[in-house]
Amino acid sequence: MKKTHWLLRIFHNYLSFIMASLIFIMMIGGLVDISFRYLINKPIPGMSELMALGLGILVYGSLPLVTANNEHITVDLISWNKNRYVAPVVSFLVNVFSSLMLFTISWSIAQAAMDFASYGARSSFLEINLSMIAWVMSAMAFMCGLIFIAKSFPGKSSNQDKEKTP
Amino acid sequence: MTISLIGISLVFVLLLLGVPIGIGMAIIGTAGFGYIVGLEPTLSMLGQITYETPVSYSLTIIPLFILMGNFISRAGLSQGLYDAAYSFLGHYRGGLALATLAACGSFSAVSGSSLATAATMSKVAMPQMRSYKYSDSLATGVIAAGGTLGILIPPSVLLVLYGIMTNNDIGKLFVAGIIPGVIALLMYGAAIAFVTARDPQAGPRGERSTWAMRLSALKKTSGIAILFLVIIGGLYIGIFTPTEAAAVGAGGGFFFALVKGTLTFTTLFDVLVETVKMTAMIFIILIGASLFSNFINVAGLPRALVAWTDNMNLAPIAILLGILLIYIILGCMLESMSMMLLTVPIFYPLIVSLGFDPIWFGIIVIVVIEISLITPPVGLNVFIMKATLPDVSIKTIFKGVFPFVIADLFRLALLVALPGLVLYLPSLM
Repeated sequence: MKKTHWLLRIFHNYLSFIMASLIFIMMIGGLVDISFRYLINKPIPGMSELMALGLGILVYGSLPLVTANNEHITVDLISWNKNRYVAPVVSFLVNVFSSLMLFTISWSIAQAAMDFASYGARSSFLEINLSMIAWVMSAMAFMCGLIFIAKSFPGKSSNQDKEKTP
Repeated sequence: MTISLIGISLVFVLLLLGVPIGIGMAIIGTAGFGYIVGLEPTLSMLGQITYETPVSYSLTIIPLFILMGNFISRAGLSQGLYDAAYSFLGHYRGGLALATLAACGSFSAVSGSSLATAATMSKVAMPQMRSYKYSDSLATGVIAAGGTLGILIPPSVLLVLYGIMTNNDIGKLFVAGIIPGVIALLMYGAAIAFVTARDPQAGPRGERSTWAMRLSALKKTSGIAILFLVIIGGLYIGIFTPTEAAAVGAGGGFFFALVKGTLTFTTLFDVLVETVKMTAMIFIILIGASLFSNFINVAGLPRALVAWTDNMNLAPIAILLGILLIYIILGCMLESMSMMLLTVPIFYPLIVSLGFDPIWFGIIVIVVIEISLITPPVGLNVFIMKATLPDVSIKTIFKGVFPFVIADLFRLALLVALPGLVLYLPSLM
């Protein structure tokens, strides 16, 4: 994220803050729910539903951060970077393939969002609008695709993502 | 069957090009599924998997356990664990290596990550072993090998993923990993004894600690021991579901780091961001693996494999050994999580049809993956060691891990020959 536009840096920081807050709230919520359930037999209503929907947003919301920081898990057996003629071509192909897949994912979730909207789907307990959740997930997947497209232009960044394992 | 073999080959091509693993599997999974069943069902399947996979309460276990590990890593636990282990074992020949092993085992129990264990323990244990003139080969070998325990000793993210992919009880998988984890510690200890018996200069004795020092060192790690016992004990007795255990673990890790005074706003933010990014990385692979698994299933590869083994009239153990051999070879090329997610949909139905226990197979897969973490050319833990200790050659580290690879192969043979070692504890649940 060193050479990016200041607007993107601000977006990156805000998104990081939102996602960090979300996981923190999920942790505290889960802990309080369990404590209440076992200590006073009163679990927080709908907490499991909130955590499930929160996870959906967290996964897709964090994907642009992973992509922008080149932190996707990749196989690193061949160092394409060593060949200055092949490297840009491979980098372009990798980023274009990846962006197309992310756009497809975004589109398919958008379809699900439209389906949810068509019959007014809501979560079973808290009656949260599922279409809205799906739209957020779709938008984030789309943004991830855009980042891959931006990375496919030479000089912006490398396709050689860092290898990481949990 | 041909179409699935072409699909698998294309996945490898994409991965070698450098396409992120989850995305590579998703591309081929979607394209292959579309080729077989047509566009409409493919788009429907795609929407279902990409939306429904992450919207799941039971899967919140993944970020919460990662969060627990990250909090505990930041709490400076590694030094405390090492000091405690050293105070009991340091005065034996190879005692510092044994202490490193014990600290790796304990640290991995709460971090759940092999690479985090290897990277952290290399910073803590290596300077100490060097000050006692331990050979670089033994010192780096024991850290790299000890680090592999992270994916077997519960809670392990890989076991969670295996449980999700195969619909097996995650609590039982966690408990099943305990005895093989202890056997690993014993066998690695035997490997250290063997190396230091052959070359006493490789691991000289350290100083003997007094009981007062030992008790003081133990006291510093008591909080984390209690957290581990609450999580695993709670799962074992049935007080918690795995998801609840993860929430308790993450909350406990947070309070542990808070009490230790290692959490500032900045470190808290770093830990949380690191956790969400790791979660996204894992889920994109999980989504890709689910899409790829659907393609493999409609292409009929698992059924074809079962039919082929029936026709060949091979003994189940021969087929199992063949599968393990494939895992060991793949492990030399692929990263651990993706190897598991790529292969389990193919081999799992075959293994179950042969009558092997799915929980046992999960542990066996993890043990083979552990071996792959320290075998060339990919051996990720070895490269982590090289990254943290640039002055030690890769050759020296691989030489150092060799006795531990042999110990792992013995352990694998033992667990294959005696499945009860894996299945005894889960059978009591």
